[in-house]
Amino acid sequence: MGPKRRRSSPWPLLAVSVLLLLTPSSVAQKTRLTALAGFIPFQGLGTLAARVPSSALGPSGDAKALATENAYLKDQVDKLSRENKRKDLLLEQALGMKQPVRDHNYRMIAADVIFSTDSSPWRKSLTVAMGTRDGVEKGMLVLYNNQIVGRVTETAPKTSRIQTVTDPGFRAAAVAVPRTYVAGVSFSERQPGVYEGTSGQNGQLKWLSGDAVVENGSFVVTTEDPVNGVPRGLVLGRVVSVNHGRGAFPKVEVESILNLRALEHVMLLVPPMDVRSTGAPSGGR
Amino acid sequence: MSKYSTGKLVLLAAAALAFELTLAEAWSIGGARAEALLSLACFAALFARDSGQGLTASWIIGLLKDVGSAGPLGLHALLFLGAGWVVLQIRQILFRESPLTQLGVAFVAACWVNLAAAIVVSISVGGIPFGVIVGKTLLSALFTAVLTVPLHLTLMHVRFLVR
Repeated sequence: MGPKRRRSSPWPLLAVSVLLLLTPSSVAQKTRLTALAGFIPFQGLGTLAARVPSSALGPSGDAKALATENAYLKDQVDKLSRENKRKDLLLEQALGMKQPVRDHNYRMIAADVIFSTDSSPWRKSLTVAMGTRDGVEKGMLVLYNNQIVGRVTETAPKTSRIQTVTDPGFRAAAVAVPRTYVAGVSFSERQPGVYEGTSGQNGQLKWLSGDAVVENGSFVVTTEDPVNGVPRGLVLGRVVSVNHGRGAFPKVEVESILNLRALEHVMLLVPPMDVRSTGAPSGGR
Repeated sequence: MSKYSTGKLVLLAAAALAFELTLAEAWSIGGARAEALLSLACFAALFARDSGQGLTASWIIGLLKDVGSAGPLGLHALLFLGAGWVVLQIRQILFRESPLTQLGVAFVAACWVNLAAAIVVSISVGGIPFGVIVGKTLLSALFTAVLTVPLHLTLMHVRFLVR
């Protein structure tokens, strides 16, 4: 008779998992985001790997020195033009954001995206290299030009996680702006609904009354929500289909205009102190 | 028969997480993508020295996945533990070196993990349309199963990777 095989019980690990699940997210988020920051070096591996063969097959002697100098100068030119391009983009974003947020003295912080995806297929988030040390707080809106990317949900000293507009947990009050603009009709007179992410490619605009005018191609923009620091007029996406069906509310599918996977940097919107403390803007309209 | 070192497998899982966070999303179709970490957890359960090693490795790999997610910490650890436990219960009757077995195990495990995670997300943060759940679960499971065959073959034959 052979030796008896020891069978381990899954209960201790199951108990630890349940304990972790019950732990408030604020307790674990700092550790989790700091651990995630450990993966930053992987980001540059592709670029590094691409450079290795060219350096291994270089010429010799004076030619080698010239080639090295040439490569160095080329590298500098590349670096400067990249920096220039980045600054141009930041300026473009700042100008794009100026229109909707000019009334409330909102401040903007530019942040580089570390990871533009989430490891779970059902959650949609991205991680940025900016945290509490730089003044990032939970709940801040994240924009690219005048389009909403998402909202800050977790913060650590050097990194933060952003819940994107396609995440099922993302919600914002929104209206669909018809392509043919009706002058003099204010946002409050149009029927507002609630925009929600679905974890798929498109979001949904819910709770619109049946007689709300929504057509394919309409832009979906935010309505003012001072409590959550959301200014009006920020773009959430574009209507791709409207299904009136049998229910009281039409089913409106909204596609994001941004390619969230391709974002390299974003802008974090810092509400002025009075909005943050009282939930209401002091000046403006 | 491939035995493995838990430490090395966890290191591989960290590399797989980096892959999921950088390249996998770019290659996804309709948001569905191959899950390298789940594939490694299946390997951990199929080729474990004993059930203790299989359960621990699956759990740690799940916990690593939780690090990269906005979801609650411990959810994937729990789901991977469940998948690992089932595989450990039935592996006596499986021919684990067969690519078909690995394909089937990965497909069923991916269906279970994705479906359970989708239900938890729907309940805790907000509804995911039924069509999205079914389509993404099946497509993700298929991609994961397809990835599993070459991955397990590599781990079985390039022994220094995991031993």
